[in-house]
Parts: sequence; C-alpha cells; structure tokens
Amino acid sequence: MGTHAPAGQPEWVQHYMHSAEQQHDAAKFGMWLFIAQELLFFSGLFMAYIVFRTFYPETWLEGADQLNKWLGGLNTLVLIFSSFTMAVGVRCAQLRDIPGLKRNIAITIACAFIFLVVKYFEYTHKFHLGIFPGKYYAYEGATGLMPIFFAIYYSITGLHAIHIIAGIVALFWVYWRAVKGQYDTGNYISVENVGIYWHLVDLIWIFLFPLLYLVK
Amino acid sequence: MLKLLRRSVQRSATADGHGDEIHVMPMGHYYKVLGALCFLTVVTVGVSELGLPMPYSVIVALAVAVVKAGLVVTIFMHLAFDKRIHTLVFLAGCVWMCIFFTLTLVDLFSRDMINKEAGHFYKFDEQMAVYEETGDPKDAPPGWTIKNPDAAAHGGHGDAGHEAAPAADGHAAPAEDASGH
Repeated sequence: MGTHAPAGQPEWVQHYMHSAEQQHDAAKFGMWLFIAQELLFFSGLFMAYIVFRTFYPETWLEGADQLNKWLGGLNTLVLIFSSFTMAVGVRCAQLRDIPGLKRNIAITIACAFIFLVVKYFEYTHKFHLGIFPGKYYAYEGATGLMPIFFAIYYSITGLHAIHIIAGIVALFWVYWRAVKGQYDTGNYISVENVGIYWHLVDLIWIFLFPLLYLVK
Repeated sequence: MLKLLRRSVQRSATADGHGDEIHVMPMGHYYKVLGALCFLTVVTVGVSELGLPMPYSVIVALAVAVVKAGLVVTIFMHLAFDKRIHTLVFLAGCVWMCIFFTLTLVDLFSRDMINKEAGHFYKFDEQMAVYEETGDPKDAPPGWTIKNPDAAAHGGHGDAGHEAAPAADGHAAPAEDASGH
C-alpha cells in the first residue's frame, strides 16, 4: 500500500507486478504448487492405509463393516454439492455477480457445516461403543487388529475434517470480502484459489469414501 | 469430447476489460458435472452392495473414484481451460505420489524376502499360527481383538478391550513395530 499500481493497470495490481494478468497467474500458480504439496501430504496416510490393508486384509473387511456407509454416502453427496456451489460461485465472481457469489459461498459454508455435523455423529457413535483412537481402543464387537484400522480411520478423516474447518475459515473470508465490495473490481483471484482448495478437499473425500466405507 | 467442451467455452468467453479473456463456462456444464458426480456416487455404493470379490471391488471403486476426480479437476478446478503449467504442476504431484507408493511397497515386500528372520510381519504371522493352533486368546498376537457377540448389542464401553497377552519372547508387539514404519 502507498505505492502506486503500474501504469495503465487497475489500482489493485501490486507495484511489483507488470500487469493484472501476471498477478493473477502468479497467485494461481502458487495455489497449484500448494495443491501438489497437499497431494503428497495426504499420500503419507494413504500409504499407511495401503501397507496395513495389504498385511491385514481381514481386519479391513471387519473394519469397513463398523462404518456406516449411508452416512458416508450422504457426506459424499453433501461435499459434491458444495463443490458445485463453489464452482458456480467462482463463475459468479468472473461475471461480477456479487449477490450470486455471496449466495453460493453461503450455501458452500452451510454444506461444510452439514458435513461436520454428520462427522460428529459418526465419531460420537464410535466413542459410545468404545472405539477410541490408539491405545484407548475398547470395543469387543469386531475381530482383528481393529486399533490399527481405526487409528488410520481417525487420522485420515480427522486430517480431512481439519481441512474442512480451514476451508470454512477461508470461505468466510471470501464472503466478508464480497460484502466489503472487494470483488466489484474484477480482482477475483482469491475466490478462485479458495475454490481450488475447496475442490481439493472434495477430491480427497472422493477417494476416502470408497476406500474406508465401501471396499470389502 | 474435451475439444468440443473447450470450443463451447471459448465461444462464451467474455473479455475482462484489461485485454485478457476469462473463460466463463456455461451453467449447463456445471449441472452436467454435478449430475455425473452424484450418479457415480450412487454407482459406487450400488456396486459395493453387489459384494464383488476382493481385487475387483477395489478396482471398480478406484476406477469410479478416478473418473469422479477427473471431472472435479478438469471442470470444477478449470484445469482443462487453464494454463498448461497448472496441469504440469498437478500431474507432477501425482507422479511423485506414485513414486512414493511404488518404492515404499517394493521396500516392504522385498524386506521380508531378503531377511525373513528379521521381518516384523513374519513375527505376527508366526504368533497368529500358534493362536490358530491352540485357539487360546492368550496366544493371539498383541493388539488382536476377539469379537464378543454381546459387545455389539450392548455397546460394551468402559471395560478395557479384549487385548491379548504380550508376546512371550519379550519382543515389542507387532502392532507397535508396524506403526514404526
């Protein structure tokens, strides 16, 4: 701030950028680097899943039986729908349709909360049965190395839920900026980047749901 | 099909006023992708109800997941209409993930092949063989829980789990060994 935008460029272009297009591309390129990093970040837990499933296949079959595939399926549909509203929100931002942007971001946030509420019911049901993570595991309803299965279940879905919460914070920020009228100028890259992040969260769940709940 | 899509997108592209054009997709594409994603979710749940045998169930589930992921990445994340460098970055992440998976699995499987004596998982298998022979829960490998028919009905919380006794030879439990990898 205080420094002027480059000549002939809108005022929201930083002084160290040549053009609005360059600023837009730089921000998006950085976001995609972050997405590639996120893939590797989650692949560690997926690796743990592959290793333990390979070594203890029976435990995995029993474990999947303990999960409610209907609640998991419901959450899948909720996330897919939120991804859809997010994508439409980005489209609204492109067209400078600010009321449409706010509406779609609000629906996306609502879906994120629905996802967390369903997850809360799933977790508390398991805690009630005595299925706690790690050494606190105390459930006799299944045979096998169930503490390992549920350690991986809690780690992956927990890390995913943390991403959902971070996404909610980012979405509220976008909503606040829309209210402030900061997207009226066509500088909508932050909507697009938060959108890309939100789709990634959906993308990870698309793999998590069949691998944890369905595959037997 | 992608080429067709791209053409229709370019037709509907609007200029930004700064010279660079923004690719605005027609709403129809978003509805179609939403429909396809919901349909594929129903398919993947439906296939799991069929109870396919093990390798096929994983293959079908992963194939459906990859198609869904492809739709999200290309359309919702705009990768199909974006600068090619973003596709390169994304695919580079996928390639490194595959390298990670492949090399780790090669290591894990060759480890026991080369040094059977030291293999953590063989220790588990040996203990399991003893347990299967005697049928005594005390012989089960550490961490191995045994289903209690009453527990599922009553939600047996409070008590400690039916943990088997530690291995007699005093070595660390296989479960703990395994988590150390």
